[in-house]
Amino acid sequence: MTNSSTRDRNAQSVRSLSTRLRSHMALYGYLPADAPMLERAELFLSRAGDQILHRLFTFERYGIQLALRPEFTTPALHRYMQAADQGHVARWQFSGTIFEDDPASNRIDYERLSIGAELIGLGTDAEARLGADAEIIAMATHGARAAGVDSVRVVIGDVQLTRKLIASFELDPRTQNFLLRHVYALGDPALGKNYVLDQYDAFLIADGTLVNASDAVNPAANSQIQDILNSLLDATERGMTMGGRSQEDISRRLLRKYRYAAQRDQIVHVLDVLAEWIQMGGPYSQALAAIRSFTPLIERGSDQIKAMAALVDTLECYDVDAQAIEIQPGLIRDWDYYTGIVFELYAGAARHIAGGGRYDELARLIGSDREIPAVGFVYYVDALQRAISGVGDEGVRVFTLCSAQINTAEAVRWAQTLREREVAVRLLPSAAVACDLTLTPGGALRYDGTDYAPEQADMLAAALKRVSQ
Amino acid sequence: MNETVTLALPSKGAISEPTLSFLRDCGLRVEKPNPRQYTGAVPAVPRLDVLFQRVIDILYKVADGTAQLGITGLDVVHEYPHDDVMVIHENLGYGECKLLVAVPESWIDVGNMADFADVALDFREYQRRNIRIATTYPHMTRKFLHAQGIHHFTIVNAEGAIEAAPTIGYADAVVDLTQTGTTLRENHLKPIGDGVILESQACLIGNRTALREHGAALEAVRTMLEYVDASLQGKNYSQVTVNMRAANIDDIARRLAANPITRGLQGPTIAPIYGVNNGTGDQWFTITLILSNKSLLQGINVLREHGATDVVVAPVRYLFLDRSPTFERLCLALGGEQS
Repeated sequence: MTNSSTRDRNAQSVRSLSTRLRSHMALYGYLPADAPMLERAELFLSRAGDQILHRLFTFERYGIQLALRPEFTTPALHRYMQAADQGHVARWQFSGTIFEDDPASNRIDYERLSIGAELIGLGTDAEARLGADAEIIAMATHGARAAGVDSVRVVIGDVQLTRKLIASFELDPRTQNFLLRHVYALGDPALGKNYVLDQYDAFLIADGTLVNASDAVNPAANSQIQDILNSLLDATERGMTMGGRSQEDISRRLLRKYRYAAQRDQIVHVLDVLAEWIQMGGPYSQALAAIRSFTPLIERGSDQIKAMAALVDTLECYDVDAQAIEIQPGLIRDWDYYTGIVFELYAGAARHIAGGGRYDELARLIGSDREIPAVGFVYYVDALQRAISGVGDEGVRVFTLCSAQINTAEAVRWAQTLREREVAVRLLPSAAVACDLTLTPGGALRYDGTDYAPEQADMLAAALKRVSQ
Repeated sequence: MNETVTLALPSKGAISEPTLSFLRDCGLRVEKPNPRQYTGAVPAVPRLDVLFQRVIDILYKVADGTAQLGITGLDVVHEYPHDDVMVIHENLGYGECKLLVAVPESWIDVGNMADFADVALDFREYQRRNIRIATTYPHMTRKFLHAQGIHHFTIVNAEGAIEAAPTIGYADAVVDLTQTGTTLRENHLKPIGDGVILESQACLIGNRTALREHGAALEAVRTMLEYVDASLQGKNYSQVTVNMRAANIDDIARRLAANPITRGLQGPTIAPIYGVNNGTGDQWFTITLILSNKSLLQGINVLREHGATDVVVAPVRYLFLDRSPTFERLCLALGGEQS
C-alpha cells in the first residue's frame, strides 16, 4: 500500500463526506458561497482571540500584512457588509481550505478542509434570533447524522450569561476579559483556580513593578499617588523619550496595576463563584433548573435563561432529542467574537466534531456602524471523518479487529477469513480504540460477548452482516 | 570537477576583525593579498578560498551554494532561516551580543514582558493603534512576541540607528542587538529583563547539500574543525609543571591521582630529576599536568600541599582530543554517511 494511494482514498472519502454535508445544508436553503483565500490580516487581527491569533498565517507584501483565511466566518460577514442590499438574510454554506500556522511546532500541514454555514441578517428581535440559533444547531446536528454519526451529543452554553455573571462583580473591563478567557481553566483539573491566579499575578499585576496593595482602594490615596507619580514622571521626562506614551498613560497604568493587586482577594472570590457556575453543567433539564436558582444571575440573566429554555423547546421541534442536549455554562469557544449562544457537537463521549455560535458584535469590530445579527458553525472535518470511519464510502460497516499487535498471524488470518465472507475489517492494536472484535489468547474472536472459534467463521460473518445492514 | 571550497567571511561590521583574529589564533590565518579585494585564502587548509561579504550576504551565499562554508552571526541565521543552511559550530566564542526588547526609560511601569503585553493593550484601547516596534529582526520579533501572548503590535522595519526610533517618534519600543547596553542607555532606553530573544555570537555555517555531496567541502570543514575545536578546548586548560620531592614515582602518582583536580586529563606525567640529592633519600621529580583553568589555583594549592614547588604554568594552545567532537556531530547531523 503506497502513501499516495492512501491519500487518494482519503481524499475520495473527504469528497464524499463533503458532498453529503453540502447536500444536507442545501435542504435548509443554504447556498454555496466562497471567500477570498487571502485577506488583509487586519480583518482577522481585529477580533480573534489571543489563543488563536498567533496561529494566523501571515506575511507581508509591499508593506501590507496579509493573512491566509483561518476560517470563513469573518470573510462571510465582511462580504455581507459590502453587499448593496444590507438587511437581507444570507444563508451561506462554505467548503474549502483554511490555514493555520503553528509557530511552536515543526508541523508543515498548514491547511485543512473546513465545512460550515453562516446565517446573517436574521434576528432583529429575540424571537427571530432564537429561530436562527435553533436552525443552525439543528442543521449542524442533523448534518452530522446524515454524514453517518450515530449518536450526536449537543452541548450548549451562553457567553452572554457568563459575561453578565462576571459583570455583576463590577470589575474593570480588562479584568472581566481576563476572567472570561480563563473560565476554561477552572474546568480543567490540570489547571484550576491556582493556575488562573498565577496568570493573574503574572499578567495583570505583573509582579515587581511598583505595586503595593495597601490603600489602593482609598480614592484619596489614589489621588495622592497620582500626584506623586506625575512628579516622578516630570523628573524623568526631561530630555527623555516617552515612546508614544504620555505621563498620564504611565501613571494611569501604574494605578491600574495597584488596583489589580488590591482586588486580588475579590478575584479569589469571583473564581470560586465561576468554579461553582461551570459545575452546573449537565443534562438539559437538570442543568437549567440549577442555573435558574443561581443567585448572582437571578435578576441579571433571566432573559438569557428563558431564551435557553425556549431554544431547547425549538430544537425538539426540529427533532433534536432533548436527552442528547447538555447545558454547559462554562462553554467559552476559542474565538473572542461570540456574544450569545455557543454550541459544540460531539460524536459519542469525547470526539468534538463541530462548533459554532452567535456573533452579533463582530460586524462592529470589522468596520460596520451597526450590529448585525449572525450565527454560524463549522464542522471539524478531520474529527468528523474519524467519527464516521466505521462507515465506508459505500455505506459498508467496517469492523475493527484488535489484537496485541496489528500483524499477529491469528489476527491477520481472522481478518482475511472475514473478508472472504464479505465482511469489511480493519486491524488495530488493542490499546488504540474501542474494538468490535477482540482476539482472545486462545485464538478465538470475541464479538458482542461471544467467542467464535475459527471453524465458526461463517456464524460470526453472518452475525456481523446482520448488524452492518 | 572543481575541488575548490569557498569560505565566506565578514568583510565589515562588528565581527569582521574578530573573525580574522579568531582564525589566526586557531592556526587558520587568512591571507588577503590586496585589502581592496574581496578574496583571500587559508594556507592551512588546502584549496580553501575566502570570499569577503557582508554578514547577511554570507548567509545568502551559503544558502545558494556560492560558498560552501561561512562565518556569520547566529542572529542572522535565526532571522533568515534557510533549509539548506546548517549551523556547524554555534559558539565560536566571540561577537557575543543579545537581541532584546528595549523600551524608553520613562516607562517606569514596565519591568517585564507581562507589563509590555499590558502596555500593548493600552495602545489599542487608548490610542486606537498598535504599539510600534522598530527592528531589523522582524521575523524573530514576531515569533517572540506571539510566544509571549502579545499579538497586537506593528513592526517598523528599519535599518541602522534603531535605538533613536522612539526619540524620533516613529516607534514606541525597539528590538535590537546589544553588547554592553551603552547605546541603549545613551538613547534613554532600558532592556526588559525577560525580553531577551536570542543570545548570539559568531558561528560557522555550511551548505547542507554541499557538505553531503561535495567531498572537498567536508574535508575542508574537518580540517577547520580540528583546529577550531582544539584551539577552543585549549583555552579552557593550562599546562602546569612542578617539581616535587618524594620517595618514589608511585607515591606521587597515587597522591595526585586520588584528587580529581590534580588528576589532569588522564593522569600526571612524572619524570625523575637527576643530579639533585638532599641527603634524605628522597628523590626529586618533575610533574606535568593539564589543569582546568576554572580550578587552576585550587589545583596548584593541592600540589603545594603535596610538597610541590617551582610551579610553571603555560597556556595550552591546542588540545586535540581523539577526534573533533564538532565534526563528529556534523557527521551525525548529515545522516552518518560521512563518518
